[in-house]
Amino acid sequence: MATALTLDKLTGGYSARKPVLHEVSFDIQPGEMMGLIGLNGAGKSTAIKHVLGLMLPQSGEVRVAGIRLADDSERYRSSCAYVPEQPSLFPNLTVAEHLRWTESAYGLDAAESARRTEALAETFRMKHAMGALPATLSKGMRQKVMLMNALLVAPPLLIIDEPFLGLDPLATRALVQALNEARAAGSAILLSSHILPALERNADRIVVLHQGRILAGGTPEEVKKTAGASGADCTLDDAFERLILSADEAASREGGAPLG
Amino acid sequence: MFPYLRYVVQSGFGLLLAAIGITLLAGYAGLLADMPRTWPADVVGVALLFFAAIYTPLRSYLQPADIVFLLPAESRTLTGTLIPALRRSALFGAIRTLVVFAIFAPLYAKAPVTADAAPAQPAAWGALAVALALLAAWNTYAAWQERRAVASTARLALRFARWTAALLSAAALLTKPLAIAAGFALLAAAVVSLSARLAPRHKLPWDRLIAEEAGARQRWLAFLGWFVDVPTEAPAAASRAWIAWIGDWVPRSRRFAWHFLYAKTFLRGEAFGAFWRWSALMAIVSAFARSNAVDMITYVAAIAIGGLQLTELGRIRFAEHASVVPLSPDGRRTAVSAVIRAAGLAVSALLWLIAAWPHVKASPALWLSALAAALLWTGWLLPRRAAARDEEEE
Repeated sequence: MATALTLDKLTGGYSARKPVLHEVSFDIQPGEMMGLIGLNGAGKSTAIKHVLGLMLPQSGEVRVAGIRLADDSERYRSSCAYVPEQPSLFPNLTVAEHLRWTESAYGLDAAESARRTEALAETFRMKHAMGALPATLSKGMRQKVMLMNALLVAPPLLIIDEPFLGLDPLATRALVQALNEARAAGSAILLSSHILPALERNADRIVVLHQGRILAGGTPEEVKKTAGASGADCTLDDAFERLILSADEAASREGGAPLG
Repeated sequence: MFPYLRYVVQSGFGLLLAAIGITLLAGYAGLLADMPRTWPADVVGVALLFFAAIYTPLRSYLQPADIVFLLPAESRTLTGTLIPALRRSALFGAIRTLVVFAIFAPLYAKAPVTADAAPAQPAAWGALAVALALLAAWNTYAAWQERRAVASTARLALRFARWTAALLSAAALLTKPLAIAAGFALLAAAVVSLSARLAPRHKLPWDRLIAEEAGARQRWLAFLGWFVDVPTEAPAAASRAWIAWIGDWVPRSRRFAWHFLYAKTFLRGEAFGAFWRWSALMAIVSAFARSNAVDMITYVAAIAIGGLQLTELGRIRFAEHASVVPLSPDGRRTAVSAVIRAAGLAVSALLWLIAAWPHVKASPALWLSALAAALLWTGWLLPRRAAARDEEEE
């Protein structure tokens, strides 16, 4: 099976003279969950936009399921499902209609889609809200709708930006359960989050992004070891802090200003 | 919106309004000169004054952030901003009603149906005008009490009561002796105002005022957007369960994914709201007119203007979510054209049946030509125009 996501020396950003990402490279295998962490402004959202094909690299390459966007945009897009940080729903479609539209857009089998819709509505406790318009939903419920749409597709690559924000504790559990089921079915998951304990518990590997470069990567334990924070009580939060402070110190010594 | 009004005038809309005004003036003069014996001056007068009196807009200029910053200053906001705004609204309401009455008065005095009820003395005319102005001002006060009601059922009940009181009071003032009518109007107003005190009320209904202000701002910007580029806000979706189910008929396949999205967006959106209300109004005018000329003019106006409203669907742009799905963006243009075509053809046929039914046997060539033109306009020209504009904007 092809690698779900490959970033190969990706350099890119909003301006050619000042790229946000500098030769970022990592890959995600099918069935793997990768946590993407970094300070505000580190380049996480920019990296995600490149993966989605909303931004084009200045140099380097992005492949999803072995395909480049330029080679086959329809297959590329069919291979990804995305959940943004801010829920972005169509104001004129009900919850059920969103799922129906996703089913049509991705060409899913209607019967299988109906079965999965039923299961997702049950998992996320949204059965009572299937006929509701987005304006009547709370932020957390809108977030659940976005997650249901992405999980309905069950594509080779799921990209989720801050999935835990706004979710109640039961919904958070339901999400983790649903993500584990997606992984078991072969989907790779790229998860960007500031809630590091959740990533530490659930992610197979972590990538730490800082000022557009990768500071560290590997399993949570490997990242802690890289940060010199491998004691029993050390958390991913501690490791992250150490990595950032070391990087900023090194940058100061070289005459650069720390970001964030 | 005042800075944008000159663009409205420059666009030719002012000319159109002037043309309509001149036509109405000619009709008015004709009616005064040759008033039919059975012209329903009572019904027309009551309707005009009723609508003039019950219209009670209130611009509070409140925004969602004001709940954070202004809530502690509720009393000051009420006395410093809202009460002056209410006074202005009451004054403009009274002036508006007086202007409508001044225009209607000659017809009221001349029409055989109302000539006996019309005042004989100037003082009596003055008293009637004052009574109507006070009716309008009271409506502003009563609408404010409505807004303060906590429960939506209470608000609806108070609105129904206010409208009933306004309708009956206007009818009484125009058709009964002034003393009795004024007494009745006073009693009706007192009953409604006292009823408003029975239900729980907010001191200042923040959420309601913020929602009303957002709606008013969005409507003005949508209107001004026809003439000049103004910042627009996405209008709130209306559930429209009575018609939205039609979108479910779109086949469940990738080929029709954009069609489904645009169909539902259209049926629940602002464009459809304007389209169906305009079409319904033209259908009602046609149904009551029973005149070949009026029905033809109504039909042409309905299809021409309604059709232009349909093309607003092509201006809709979806958020990022729609750009990451595996659908070709070109499919959007096809979908927009298809939805415009379906809606346009359906309404062209329906309105033709209503307008043409009494006349098609007498003037088959005329009415069949009108139908053919309408089908061409809505089935071919408008969809092409919408798709072409979409391509240009891209």
